[in-house]
Amino acid sequence: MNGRVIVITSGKGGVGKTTSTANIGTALAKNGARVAMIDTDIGLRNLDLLMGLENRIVYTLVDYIEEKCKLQQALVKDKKIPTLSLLAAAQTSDKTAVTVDQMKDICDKLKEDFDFVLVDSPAGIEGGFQNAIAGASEAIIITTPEMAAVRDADRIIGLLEANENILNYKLILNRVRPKMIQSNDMLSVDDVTDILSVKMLGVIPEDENIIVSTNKGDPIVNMENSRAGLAYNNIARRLLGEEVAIPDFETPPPSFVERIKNIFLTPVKI
Amino acid sequence: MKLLDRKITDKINDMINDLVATCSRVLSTEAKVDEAVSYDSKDDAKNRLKLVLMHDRSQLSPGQMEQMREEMLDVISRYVEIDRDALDLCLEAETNTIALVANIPVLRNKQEQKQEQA
Repeated sequence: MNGRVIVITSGKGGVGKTTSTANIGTALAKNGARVAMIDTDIGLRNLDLLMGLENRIVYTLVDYIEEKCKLQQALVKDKKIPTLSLLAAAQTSDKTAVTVDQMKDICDKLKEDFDFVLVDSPAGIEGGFQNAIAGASEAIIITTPEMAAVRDADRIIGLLEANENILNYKLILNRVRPKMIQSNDMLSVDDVTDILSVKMLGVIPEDENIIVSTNKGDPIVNMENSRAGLAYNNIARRLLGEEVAIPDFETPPPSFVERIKNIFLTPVKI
Repeated sequence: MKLLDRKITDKINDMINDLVATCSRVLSTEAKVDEAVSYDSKDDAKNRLKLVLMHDRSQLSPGQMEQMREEMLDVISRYVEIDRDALDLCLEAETNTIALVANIPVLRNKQEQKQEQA
């Protein structure tokens, strides 16, 4: 049994790494995969909050490293989906509590029991990031159509390219606002692909429901009829090998006048 | 009869087209004013990003670029007379590589210059 270890990273903070990890993990599990998520943001853990598991954490990643528990004990099962587990970061230690070799070891152990091991990376390019990518062979880079996020993503891509263990990496463009793209006030999906020359794994539209889902501690993929939830589910299906097209955010929907024109101009039969 | 039908349909179509054109002209006046005032900020973002990324990737700061420009000018002007202000040095991105492109207008050959002075 050899699962895929995928690191989810961005460089810049606040672009949606943890939200993406929670949702991709949940969506993969809902599609039948066995999934383990690791929060490597030691000292600033949040993945447990987004999953609504904050009250169930007894042991953390650092406890396992310090041999206070077994790996199985540190894995917290999701409330709804039994094939989804979380390995939480310690809130009290700091990033030096884990080494690159220890991270590699944990990922190697987990991929024996799980189809997917998702590693939620901390922001930045220092130790925490190096730990997060240590055991991974694939990477997902999260960025938003903002200049600072795109620049930081480019920096991360450079570092991933230099790392020989990362065999493939793809981009998720998060918090896209179709209306702003249509009025040429936001970098489009094509613009970002063009600038970074990286393959796009998915595009997530800005969605207020994300805040609601975070408030509830229930990932948005569990919410029916949400645009962002649907986009995350599509990403999970692509990761599982399915061909799912990325919807078009560039072309504006036909205007009111155009729609009326279309109604009248359809060939009249007398 | 059929021919007549088509003529009527065409006329109706023309009429609708005219009507739609007039309506959209009236309705879009406001939008046009807006357009004239604002500009596409995304183009700004794209151009600025492309430039900053090229500097990031080549690990050359604008200051270092300027220094390189000056040093290149010194070397080149030992051989040819050049227009120092017209030298255009920039980084250009191709798919995965970055090219350093210099455009140096040569005024004349140093040899000629010497002959002239003699």
